[in-house]
Amino acid sequence: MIELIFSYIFSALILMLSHRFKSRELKVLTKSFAFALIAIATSLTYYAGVLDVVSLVLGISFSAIAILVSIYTIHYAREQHYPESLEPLIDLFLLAIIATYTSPSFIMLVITWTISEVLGFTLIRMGEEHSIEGSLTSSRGFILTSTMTYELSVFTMITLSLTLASASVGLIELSKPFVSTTLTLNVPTLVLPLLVLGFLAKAALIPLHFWLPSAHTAAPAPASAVLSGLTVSLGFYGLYRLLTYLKFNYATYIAWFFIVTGALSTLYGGLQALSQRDVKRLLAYSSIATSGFISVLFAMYLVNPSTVTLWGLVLGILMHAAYKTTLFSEAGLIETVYGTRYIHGVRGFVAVTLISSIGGIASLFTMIGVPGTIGFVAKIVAIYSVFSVYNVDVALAIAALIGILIYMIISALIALKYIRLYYGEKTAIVKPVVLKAPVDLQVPILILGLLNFIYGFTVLGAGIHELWLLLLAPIPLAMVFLYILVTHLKALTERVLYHELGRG
Amino acid sequence: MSLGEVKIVYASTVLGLVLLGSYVVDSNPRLSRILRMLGFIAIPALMVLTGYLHLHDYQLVLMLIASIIAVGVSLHSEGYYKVLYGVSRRFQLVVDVILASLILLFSSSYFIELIIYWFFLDLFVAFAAITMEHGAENLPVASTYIVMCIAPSDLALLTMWALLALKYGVINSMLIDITSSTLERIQLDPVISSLLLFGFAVKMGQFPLHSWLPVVHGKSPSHVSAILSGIIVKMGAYAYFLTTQLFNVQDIASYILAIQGLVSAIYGSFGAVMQTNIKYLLAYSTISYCGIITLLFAAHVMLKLDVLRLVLLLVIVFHSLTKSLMFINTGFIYQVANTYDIYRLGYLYYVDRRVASAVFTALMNLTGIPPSIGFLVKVLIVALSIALTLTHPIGMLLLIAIVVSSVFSIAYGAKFMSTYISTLPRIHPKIVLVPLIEAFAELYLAVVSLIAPIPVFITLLALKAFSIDFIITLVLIYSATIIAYIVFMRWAYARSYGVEVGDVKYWLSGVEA
Repeated sequence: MIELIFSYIFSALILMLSHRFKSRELKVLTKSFAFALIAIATSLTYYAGVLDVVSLVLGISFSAIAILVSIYTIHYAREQHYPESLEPLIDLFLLAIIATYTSPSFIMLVITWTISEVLGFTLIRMGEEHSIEGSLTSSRGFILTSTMTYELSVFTMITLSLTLASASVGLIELSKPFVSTTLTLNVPTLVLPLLVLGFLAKAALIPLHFWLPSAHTAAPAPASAVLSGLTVSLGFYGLYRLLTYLKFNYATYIAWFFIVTGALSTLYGGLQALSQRDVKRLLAYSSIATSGFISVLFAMYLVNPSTVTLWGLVLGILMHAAYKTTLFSEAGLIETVYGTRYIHGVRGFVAVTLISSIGGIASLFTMIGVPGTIGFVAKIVAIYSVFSVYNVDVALAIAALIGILIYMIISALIALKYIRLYYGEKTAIVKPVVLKAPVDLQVPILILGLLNFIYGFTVLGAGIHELWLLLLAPIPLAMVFLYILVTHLKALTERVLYHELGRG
Repeated sequence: MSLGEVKIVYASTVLGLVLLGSYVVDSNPRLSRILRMLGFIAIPALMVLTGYLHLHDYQLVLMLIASIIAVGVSLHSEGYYKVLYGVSRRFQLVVDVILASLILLFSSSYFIELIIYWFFLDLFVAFAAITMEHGAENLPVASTYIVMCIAPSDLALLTMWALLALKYGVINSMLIDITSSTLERIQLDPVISSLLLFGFAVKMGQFPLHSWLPVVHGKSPSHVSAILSGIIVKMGAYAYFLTTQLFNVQDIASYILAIQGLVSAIYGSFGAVMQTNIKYLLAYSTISYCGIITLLFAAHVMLKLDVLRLVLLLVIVFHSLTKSLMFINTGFIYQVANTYDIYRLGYLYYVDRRVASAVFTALMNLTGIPPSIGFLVKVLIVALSIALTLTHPIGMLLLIAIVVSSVFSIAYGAKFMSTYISTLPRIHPKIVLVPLIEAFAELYLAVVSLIAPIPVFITLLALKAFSIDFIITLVLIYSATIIAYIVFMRWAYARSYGVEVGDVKYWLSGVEA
C-alpha cells in the first residue's frame, strides 16, 4: 500500500517537473511516463493482493485516458490562451481521480477524492473566469451541491463507523484495504439517505442533477472531459465501495429508487440534450442520461451481486469514460476551429478535421452500440444482467429493461443529432476560423476515440473471459463500417464545398 | 477444419472479395463484377455444395434468395451511380457490404454470428445507407428507423440471447449451433413469447408499429429500399423461424401475430392504392405481403403443418424477387425522370423497352398472372386456405387476407404500370442512355422470377405436399402461358414507334449531364 502512495507522490512530482520543460516532446514523454507509472504500480499492488480487480481495470483504463487528455491539454491551453497553471492543474486532477479509483482503503479514497474535488472546483472557476459569459454560478453550484453533499456523506460514513463499531476499531478498519476489511455496519434506515445523497449528487441523478450542465459547460474542455467522463461515475464507484461495509435488508427498495431515478434521469437528460445548441451543454446533458443508465446497472448489482452484474456496472463506467472524454475533447477542438460552441450552424466538420473525426465517429459508435465497441458490450451485458435478476424479482427486471431500452434509444438519437456536425450541408452558417485544425489537438482525440474499440479487452484480463468472442469478432466489421462512414461523410462534405466553390 | 475456422475463412473471403470488388468498381469494372459475383454467389454456393455449411431449410432459402438479389441490386447500383455521380465506389461499398453481411447473416451457424451481423446491419443501414444519397436531409428518416424499428427488434433479439444465456450460460449460449437440429426447445411463458414475436414483427413493419416502413422505404436511396424491402424485412421472418426452432412459444403469441398479420395485409393494400409516389406505393405493398407472411407463420405455429412452412418460404421468395426488382426500377425511374410522382410519369415504355419488359414481368408477378411465381404462390395459398377453412378459423383469415391483397395488388399494380404506358407515344421521344448493366440487372431478376416456378414444381412433386392432379394442372398452365408470354414479349419488343436516334440526354426533366 505504501508503494502505491509513493508512486502517486512520485508521479505528481514528475508531472510538476514536466510543466517546466519547454520542449513539447519532453513534456509528452514525461507525462506518459508519470501516468504509465501509476498503471504499473496499480498492477503490482493488484498482484500483491491489496487491490481488487475493479480498481485494476479502472486504474489502467483511466491511465490511458489520462495520458491522452494531458497531452491534449498542452496544445489546448496555449491555443485558447489559458493561464499557464491550467496544464499542471489538469495533470494533478487526473492523478487525483485515478488515485481515487485505485485507492485500496476507504480513508485513502476519501482523501484523494477530496483533493480531486478541490482541483475540480479550481478548474471550473478558471474556466468561468476565462469564458465569454464572465462570472457564472457554475463553480458555486459545483462546490455547494456536488462537493458539500459528498463531504456530508463520507463524514456520515466515518461517524457511523465510529459509533456503530467501537471507536478504536472503526477508523482502523476503514483504513484497511477493501479486500481484507471485516467491518460490517447495520445502518439505521433514517441515516441511509444521508449516506446515499452525496454519491447521488456526484452522479447527477434527478433530483440532484442541476449543478452538472453549467459546471461542465464552464470548465475548460479537457477539464470537462475528465469531470464528465471520469468523475461522474465516481458516484457509483463510491457507492460500490460503500457496499463493502453496509448491511441492510431492504436492498430491493433502494434498487427501485435507483431504477426509477435512473430512468427519469435518462429521459430528462436525453430530451434536454436533444434540444441543445451548445455542444458542451449537449454533452453535459447526455452525461446525465448515461448516468441514469449506470444507475440502473447499479440497481441490478444491488439486488443480485454477481460477477455479471458487477461487470455490467464496470463496463457502463468504462463506456461512459471512453466516449465522453473523446467528445468533450472534440468540443474543445470545435471551439478552436469555429470560435464558437454553438453547433447548430456548424456543418462539414470532417473537411477541416479528418484525423480527429475518425475518433469522434468511433465514440459515436459507442453511443449507438455498434458491435466491436465498448458500448455494444456494455449494453449487451446490461441486458444479460437484467435477465440474471429476472429470477429474483420479475417486476424489477422489467422496469430495468425499460430503463435500458430508453437509454439505448436516447443515446442513439443523441448520436444522430451529433453526427449532423460531420455532414456537409448547404445550411452551414458558421465558417471555420482555422482552415486546418492543429494536428497536435487532433491526434489525442483520434486515439481517445480508438480506445472505444480497445476498452473491451480490459475485461479479458480481469472479469468474464467468456466475452472475448463478443469483443474480438466484430471489430473488423466495425472498422469497415468506420472506414466507409468516414469516406462517405468526406465525399458528402466535398460535394457541398464543391458546389459552394462553383457558385462563388 | 472445425466449424469455427470454416466460418472465419468463409466470412472473411466473402467480405474480402466483395469489398475488393466494390473498391475497384471505377477503375476496373470487369474485375469488380467478377469479384462481386464470386463473393455473392460462388463462395456461398461452394460452401453449401461441399457440405461445409449445414443449414436449415429456411436459412438455405433466405440465403439463396439474398445471393440472387444481391447480384441484381449490386450491378444495377453500379450503373445508376456511374450515370448520376460519375463515380460509384463510395455507394457501391455501402450497398455491397450490406448485401454481403445479409448473406452471412442468413448462413450463420453460431448464435453470436447472428447477433453481430444483425446489429451491424441495422446500424449500417441507419447510419450509412439511408443517408447515402441525400446526406443530412435523410437523418430524420434514420432516426425514425432507429426508434420505431431497430429498438424493438433488437430488444427482442437480445431477449432471445438472454433466455439462451440463462439456460446454457454466457459463453455456451453464444456458441450454440443454431443449424443443428438436436437443440432442446426452451419453454416460454406467454409474456416473453409475445414480446419476442411482437419484436420481430416490427422488423416486418406489422401493425401497430408499421408506420416507420413507408417512411424508411420511401425515402431511402432506391437500391437501399430494394435491399430493405427485398431482404432486410425478411430478417423478421428468419427470426420467426429461429424462435420456433429454439423455443416453445405459447399459443397466445401466435393469435396476436395472426391479428397483426391480417390487419397489416388489409391495411397495407388499402394504403398502397392511395399513394401517388411509386416508392410509397411499393412500401405499403410490402406491409401487405409481410402481413400475409406473418399470418402464414401464425398458422404454422398453431397447426404445425409442413405444407404451411413450404408455402411460407415460397411467399418469401416471391415477395423478395418482386419487390427488389420493382424498387431498383424506381431507381431507374428517378434516374431518367427525376421524379417518383405517378401523375408526372407515363411515357417510360418509350424510354427503354428492355427495362419496361422487366417491369411488366415484375407486375405480372405482383398481381399474380400465370407464368410467374406470383401466380403459383397465390394459387397455392388460396387452395391451402380453402382446405384449412374446414378445420380451423385461421383458414378463413388467410383466405380474406390473400383475396383482399390480390385484388388490391391488381389495382396498385395497374397504377404502377401506368408510369410506363399511360401516355401515347410522342412523335420524337427523347432517347435516354441507360447503361447496359442496369437493363441487364433488371432483366436478370425478371427472368429469375419467370423460371423460379420450375424448381418449385420439382419440390412440390418431390414432397407430395399437394395432390398430383393439382400440380400437373399448374404445370400445364405454366407451360402454356410461358409460351404465350414469350410470343407477346417478342411482339411488344419489336414494335416500332418511329423513334429517331438523336442527341443523347441523360435527363428527361431538362437537366443535361
